[in-house]
Amino acid sequence: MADSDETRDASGSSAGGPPPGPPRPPGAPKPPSPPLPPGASVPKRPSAPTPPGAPKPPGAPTPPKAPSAPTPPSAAAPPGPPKPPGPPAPPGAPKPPGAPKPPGAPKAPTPPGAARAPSAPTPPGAPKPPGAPKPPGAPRPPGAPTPPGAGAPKPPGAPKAPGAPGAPKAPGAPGAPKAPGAPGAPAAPGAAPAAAKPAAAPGFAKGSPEDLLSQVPLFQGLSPKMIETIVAEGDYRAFAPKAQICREGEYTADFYVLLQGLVGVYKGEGEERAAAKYLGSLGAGSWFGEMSCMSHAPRSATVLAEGDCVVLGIPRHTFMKCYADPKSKAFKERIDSEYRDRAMSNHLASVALFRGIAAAVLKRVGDVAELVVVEKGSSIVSEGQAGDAFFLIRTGHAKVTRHSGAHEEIIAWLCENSFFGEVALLKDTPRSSSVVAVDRMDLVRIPKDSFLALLDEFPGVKEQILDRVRRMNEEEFVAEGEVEARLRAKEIGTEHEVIKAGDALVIDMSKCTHCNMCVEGCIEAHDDRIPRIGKRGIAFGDLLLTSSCYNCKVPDCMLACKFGAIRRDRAGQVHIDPEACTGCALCEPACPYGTIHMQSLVGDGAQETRANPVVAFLAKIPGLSVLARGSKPEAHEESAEAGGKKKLRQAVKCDLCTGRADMACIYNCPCGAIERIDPNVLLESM
Amino acid sequence: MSLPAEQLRNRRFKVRFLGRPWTWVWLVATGVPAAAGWYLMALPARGAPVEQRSWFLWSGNLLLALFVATVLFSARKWSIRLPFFRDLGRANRRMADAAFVGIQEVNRRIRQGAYASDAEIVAAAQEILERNGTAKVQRVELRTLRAGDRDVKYVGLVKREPLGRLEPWLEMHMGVGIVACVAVWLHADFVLRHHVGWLLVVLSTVVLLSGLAGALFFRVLPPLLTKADPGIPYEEAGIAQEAYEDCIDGILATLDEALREELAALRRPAASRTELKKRNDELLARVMAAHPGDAELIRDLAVMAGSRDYLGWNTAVALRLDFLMRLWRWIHVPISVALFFVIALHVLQVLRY
Repeated sequence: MADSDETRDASGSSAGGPPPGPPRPPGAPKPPSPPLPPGASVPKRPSAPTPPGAPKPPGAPTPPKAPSAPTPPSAAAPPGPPKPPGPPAPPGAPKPPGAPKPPGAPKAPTPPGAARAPSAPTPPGAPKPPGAPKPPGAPRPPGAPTPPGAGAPKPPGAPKAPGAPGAPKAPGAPGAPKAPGAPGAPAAPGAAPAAAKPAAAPGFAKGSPEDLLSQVPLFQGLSPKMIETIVAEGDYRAFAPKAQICREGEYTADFYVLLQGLVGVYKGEGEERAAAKYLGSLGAGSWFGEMSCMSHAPRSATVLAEGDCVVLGIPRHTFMKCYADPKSKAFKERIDSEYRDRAMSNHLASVALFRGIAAAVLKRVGDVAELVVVEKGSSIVSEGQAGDAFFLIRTGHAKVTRHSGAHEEIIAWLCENSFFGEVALLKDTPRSSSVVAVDRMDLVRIPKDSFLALLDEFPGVKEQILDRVRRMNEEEFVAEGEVEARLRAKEIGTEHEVIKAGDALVIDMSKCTHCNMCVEGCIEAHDDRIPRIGKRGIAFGDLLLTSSCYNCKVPDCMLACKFGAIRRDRAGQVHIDPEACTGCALCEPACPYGTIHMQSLVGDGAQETRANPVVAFLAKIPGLSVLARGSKPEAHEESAEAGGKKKLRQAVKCDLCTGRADMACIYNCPCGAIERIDPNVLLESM
Repeated sequence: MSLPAEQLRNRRFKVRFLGRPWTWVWLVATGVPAAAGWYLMALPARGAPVEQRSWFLWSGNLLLALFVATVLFSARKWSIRLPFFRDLGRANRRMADAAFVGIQEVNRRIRQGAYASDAEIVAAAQEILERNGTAKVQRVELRTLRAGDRDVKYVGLVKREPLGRLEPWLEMHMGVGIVACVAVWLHADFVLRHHVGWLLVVLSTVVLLSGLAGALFFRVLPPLLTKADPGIPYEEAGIAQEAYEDCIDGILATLDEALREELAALRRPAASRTELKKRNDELLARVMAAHPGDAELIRDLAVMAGSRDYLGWNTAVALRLDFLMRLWRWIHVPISVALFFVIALHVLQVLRY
């Protein structure tokens, strides 16, 4: 692109932008909400749930949505240097009510009726002795979300398999026999979860789950209620030496606390360990994974067990509950502080603009910069305003717009690792364009004074930046992917925000004969007989990006879900866990593409759940009944219950025919008109 | 937004039946031996009942096999309703997940130029499937897309379909069906001796012609249908029209009988824009003058009626094209079913003799 400088920067001058986008088709993304002050972190408010069964007229606009969960600043970066466990409180020190118990401190009296775990150690995953009392919160309630990678939830009362994940048990709980080869929850691809072994490696003193957690320095700022929540929803996982706990680039979002052993942090190219850069080791009491947990970005580093180790995996929604808990401010402050340091240092080290600049200078930049979260639709800088800060984009996407006559013209698209705002500061001119977030964005904001002071203080850096700004072009200085992003933005217009998608179901309408086999195939592929595909969506010429799930890189539905029912797998595919879905409908308006709809599970809406009459007929014929039976290798069928309560509705979206031979729509299209492809690849070919 | 035709052409996923070279190879490879067989066997056997019966027997068996093969398409189409076929080759979700991650890594390396050849890319991708234990349920495809003046290569992960995608089945149906319907004439030696024979030849010819018409229809009509895009899926336009009608009826029901009578014309859709304008001008002038208190309500009714009518006009072309495609199915499929009944009758007749 020739106009690199200008289009990159919100205050750029003369970039020629793409023509105004086409008229918004039905189901197209909504216009951004009113602007907010630059750099503002928007407080979230709960969305109003859609009334049950409320019909949606065709073409009706999606109601304005409101984010629901409190949003922390975020980043994706590898953990920093090893953190030793916090200093234990002196034995016998008085313990305030609700305060975490120091290691070795005398136990508080057990409330009447409360079951306590015995105090002797049991390896995680070890079989439970018959009749052993369960720790409070140990059984995962029906419908409680299972963290990615964890095993299928067990029905209440079902015997616990040896080594099964789920009920957190203190590593080394008493009286339990040692579990040879009992693994924790499945680890990352290629990982070999270890046989849980008793505490050979450094770890924490033994006790009940609450006692154990209260020994972790990080959790000492948590309220007892949140500790109980973690006990109920967290998972202990044991890993063998060299086993992979999380992997760079994957989309898991659990937060990890290392309870026992050592882990190594690696960052670098590919799977070959030799090519990866060793960043350091973390010891018992350290935590990692908060970057992906808070910013929804892929893992920024690979973490491998360096010996036998035990890790507490906390699902994202549980972590966010703790983070937002008003009684756990110390926890939040600690996370924020560490997160800011890690995020800032990692981002500044990776951003193209500062490539090659000494670490000391970057440290200086990091000290004056702040992390900012901007919600979707917020205006970050406004045209005509005085430039007050320089911005680096950590995650998310933004569009750069400029008034051209009576209308607003989109002139560029910004994605992660790019930056804007420097020209207005350097030239001391008002912003010549506006930058609006098209999804939730994590930014690094460097105030004008600090930015200019920094440049003044480091003349070499200033000259370097000025020089780069003068001769900036995408191939040399723009982050990987941004060049393509800008080209696509120019070619197709940015209004539809398709670039956010991870992959999309595309119908070539010039080949589609409207035979409906795709829909019929979709109905038959799901036991609830609810079609996930619709022939609505965003049209580019003859291509229709259907209102099937786009698997967004920053899924708005996942951010809106308060119950952790919407999660991404390692590949970044967004799934709704039917067992965790409560039918609250927060996700439905959150999806900008209208891909989620609420399916009634009672009354007339549940009629689809009837069995296929052909199958029902065949099932009665001896010898042919085999045709009416299918295999169910994985329990992912819809559940009509959540938390023991009958659900009225169920959020439904394309599940990519998980576990089946092929996506039913593609498999059954007689015209070859459907493909599920990465829009980045598709748009690149345009 | 419409894109230049060249750019659109670049990203067509596949070329269809008649554009594939193997279609013509198949037609030639089967048509020539069939014609040669008729010329060398059936023609000399005329007048010799024993030899002629031998030709009828062998060609009939072959023809029957072709017709059965043609019907397999419908069986494959119906197989989706049976859970047994639906669940064939189900993959393990976690391993498939891991394989997907590995393939993305391969794609990243392709962009970095880490592979010297296509074979190396495919081998690396295949190795990932083997390692993750999903090679039996997934396969890799090296795909190329045209991006301006260069090719973009990437590895796609395709689940192995237990019965194959429906598209090749349809093409097999077309290829075999064409040959079968033409071969009926050769089998009969161009002489129709009895009613069933007549019926069989006529029906197979109609099926052949309707099939060819279908191939043409489904190549020509979908692009026209896309071009006639009314901005709302035409399948849903009827629902929207009904909603408008319900609203109009609902409002009319609340009005006085006299006013309702006067506004009853709004219930009928106008045939054209001119008629709509004329009707609205007359009606609104008359009724609003008589009922000034209800002017706003009457105007709303006129707007709703107009919206309903516009929706109808805008989707009329799409609905007409869709009707043509549906009509074709209502011709081709019942005649094909009738053809098979006649074939069965013919087989029984032959067995009887």
